[in-house]
Amino acid sequence: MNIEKGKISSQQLLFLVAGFVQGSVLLIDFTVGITEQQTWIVVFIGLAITTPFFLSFVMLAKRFQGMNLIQINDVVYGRLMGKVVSAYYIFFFLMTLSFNIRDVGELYITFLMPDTPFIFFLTVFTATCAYAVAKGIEVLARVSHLFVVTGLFVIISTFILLIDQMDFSNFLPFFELPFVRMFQGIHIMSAIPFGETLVFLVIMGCLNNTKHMIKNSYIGLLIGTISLLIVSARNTAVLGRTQTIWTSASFQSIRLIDIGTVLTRMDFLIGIAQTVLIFFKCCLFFYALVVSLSQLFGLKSYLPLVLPLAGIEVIIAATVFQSPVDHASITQNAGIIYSAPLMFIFPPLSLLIAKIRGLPRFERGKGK
Amino acid sequence: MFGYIFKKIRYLSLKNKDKSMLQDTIAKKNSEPISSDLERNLEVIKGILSDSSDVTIHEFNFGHDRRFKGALIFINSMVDKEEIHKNVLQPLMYGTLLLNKDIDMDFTQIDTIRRNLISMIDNLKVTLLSDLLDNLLAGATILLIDGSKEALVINPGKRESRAIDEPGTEAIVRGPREGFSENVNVNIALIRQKIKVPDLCVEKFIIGDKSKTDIFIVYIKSVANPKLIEEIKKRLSRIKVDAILESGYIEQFIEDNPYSIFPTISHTERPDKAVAKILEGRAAILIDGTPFVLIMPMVFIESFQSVEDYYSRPFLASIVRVIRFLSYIISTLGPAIYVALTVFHQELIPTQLLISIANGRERVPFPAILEALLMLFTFDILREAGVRLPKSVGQTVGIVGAIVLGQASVEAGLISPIMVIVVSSTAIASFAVPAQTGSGTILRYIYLVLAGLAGGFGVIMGLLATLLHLASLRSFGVPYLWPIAPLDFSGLKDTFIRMPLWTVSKRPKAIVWSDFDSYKQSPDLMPSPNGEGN
Repeated sequence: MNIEKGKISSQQLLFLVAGFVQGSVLLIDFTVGITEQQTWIVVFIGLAITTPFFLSFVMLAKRFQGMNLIQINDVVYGRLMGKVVSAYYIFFFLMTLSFNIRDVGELYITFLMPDTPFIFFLTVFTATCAYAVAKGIEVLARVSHLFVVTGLFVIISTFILLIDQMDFSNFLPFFELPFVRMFQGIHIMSAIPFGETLVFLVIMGCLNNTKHMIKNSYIGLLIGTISLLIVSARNTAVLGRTQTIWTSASFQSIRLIDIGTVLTRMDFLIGIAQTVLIFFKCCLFFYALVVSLSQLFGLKSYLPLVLPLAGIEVIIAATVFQSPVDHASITQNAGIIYSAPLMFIFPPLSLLIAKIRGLPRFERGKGK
Repeated sequence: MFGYIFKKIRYLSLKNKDKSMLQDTIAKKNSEPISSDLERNLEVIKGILSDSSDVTIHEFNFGHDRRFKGALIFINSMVDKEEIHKNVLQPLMYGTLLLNKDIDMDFTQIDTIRRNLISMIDNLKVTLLSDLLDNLLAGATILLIDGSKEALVINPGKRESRAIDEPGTEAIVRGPREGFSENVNVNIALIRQKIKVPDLCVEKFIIGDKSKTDIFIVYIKSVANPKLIEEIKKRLSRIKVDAILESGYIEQFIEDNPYSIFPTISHTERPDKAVAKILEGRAAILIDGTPFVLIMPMVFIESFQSVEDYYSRPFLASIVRVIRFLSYIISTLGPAIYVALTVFHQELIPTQLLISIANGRERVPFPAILEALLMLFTFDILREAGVRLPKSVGQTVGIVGAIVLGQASVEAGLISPIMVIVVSSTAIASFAVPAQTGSGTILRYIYLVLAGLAGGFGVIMGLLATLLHLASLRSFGVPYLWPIAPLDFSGLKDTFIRMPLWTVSKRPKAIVWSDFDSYKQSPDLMPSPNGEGN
């Protein structure tokens, strides 16, 4: 029995995926230091690499209709092994969520409100996420398009406002970077904005109609990719080589907006958009975390876990890294390694095992 | 854990409720039937109503030989005595006197009297003493005949009521000037005058152990969702209270989200508005004794619509609607944004403006958040005082409060002039959306405190929480944020802007639900001067 009773439509899934990928716009700044002016190519290649894996997530969910990740693992790997794999996933959700929460705190502490205590942002932000998660996936799905539209509005409007400052020779030269850096960039890109969409393995079990799910979720992924592409192209075209020295290239490029000395200081727009989009991403991660954990323990409802986990998340987020630099370097170098099997090995493997063993045979599922 | 305790408490209270309901039905079953002995009946009634000096019992004999005995019972203050005299007493006493002796009618049968003598239309038979008392206390006249186990309830028809007047709360420039009044029968007539179809249902409920208030559900059977009607009836039937004095009582007993600051049932004083909503598939609840009619389900955007939007041409109406949305945003976020900007994000303010703000705040001894709270609080006091005071004094309060107090506090350096501007524009904006004044006021304070604590971050978090809360609300099964969330493009035609009437050919999807009867007009109504159609 799936723990979530709410239902979402496949149109809402489109917006959920798009919003989720847009939630990684901050991460563009992560890779910029590595891939410089070729970030936009990296976005493309990342998408190309992730596409088969993303499709494997969706097909897995389609194959096991109405089941979430934990139930699928139980069915595919057996009860014991399945629990181990599920625990790995849950650990991933736990850590990634805390990193994302920390991102918000760092965004504010660095750019907008340096005097406010760091923990305050984490607490308020996580509390709001917890509120959203307690409302259920249906409510999040219902408002998902608003997040996507807000994100697209800010991204496209800032792009248009910056057109006069763009210099497209900044994209040159192509293929100047050493292969190792390129590879690392591609790995980051395919792991973080795209590979993290594996949270939808938890969410897609609530779909009321699996008919268009592959098409719709992929369109969602494309919308998210286009947003990332616009942001990376904008930053490179406006800032050129200097984009690597700013803590946030997006902020810096938006600060340059100056239309007739009237439209200036637009960086609050990017502040709002990034907060809102990361909020959305964190909500989905948080949701995946509480649902999988309560499914693992066979609880009747995930609500009792929301507040305790919120507290744990705040503590992890506050203590896990020494500084933003530490955060960036660990995510770039270590984070993507331990999460790789979850994105690139387990889902295709599950699909393969399911195909060979002819699963799902037991429609009722094994979890509680 | 708390959930468990709450469940337990609810279970216990439900159990008790069941018991009391059971007792009630037993009491009903045991209530005495009317006996055939008139003397005995009158004795019982006198015993029950002994302390009411306004109950009149008039005993009389009738029949051509005066051998039948009868009694009329009514409450002096509630009955038109002339009508009763002309249509009941006169036929009974003089009419029967003139009867031919050969025609021997048995006047101990209520039916005979009812068919042959009573010339008032609105009458019914009752056999139980409790029914008799209910009707008597509701203003009817009771006719008891010696030898009959039945009593006749005669309704005098007329009742004192206010004339149909222009509604006090929802004034408009173009449109009908009539408003609902306190008399529920008049209100039903006002609706019937506008919807002349046989399947306009008017179902009666009587709620309130003491007040026995008449409550009517009005809907169009072929348009309204049967599940909605069923749900309304179910919720109404579980109300067990002493009295229903106003529509607000019913609203608070049947709403979906009693802990939300947003109303999920709308109310109106305008028949045209009520009718428009009934035609869309909603149901109206009319309550005797109040001009406010409840309408459900309600969606959030309804608060921003006015009937006049549809009476005037679409262009201005659309602009006005956008203005209403903006006013709601200003009224909730105005002071919060001011505080967030001046305290946390000064770098976002253009330099010239920043200098003038700083100049204004130079002498102010309070932090901006306290200043804003003080001003908002004063404004709310002014508003409250203005509403409750007699009209003649109200103006004085306005002048003293707004002009003298505002001017003096700025000159004394207690408040910065810009804060006065912010708060007064907030105040004006808050009146542009009357249906959400309550939620707007509360949100204003919440956002203000959040802005004072955490600047823009706090406001964004507050907005997100509000959005999610709104999206989670439902009113009788209809998502509160429809058509924005869940997204419905056909519903958006009448949301932020109002498209011309001829483009909106279907009823709102969320409210009708089924495709059955979703068309309210033919889809090709675009006017074309040559009459060729388009």
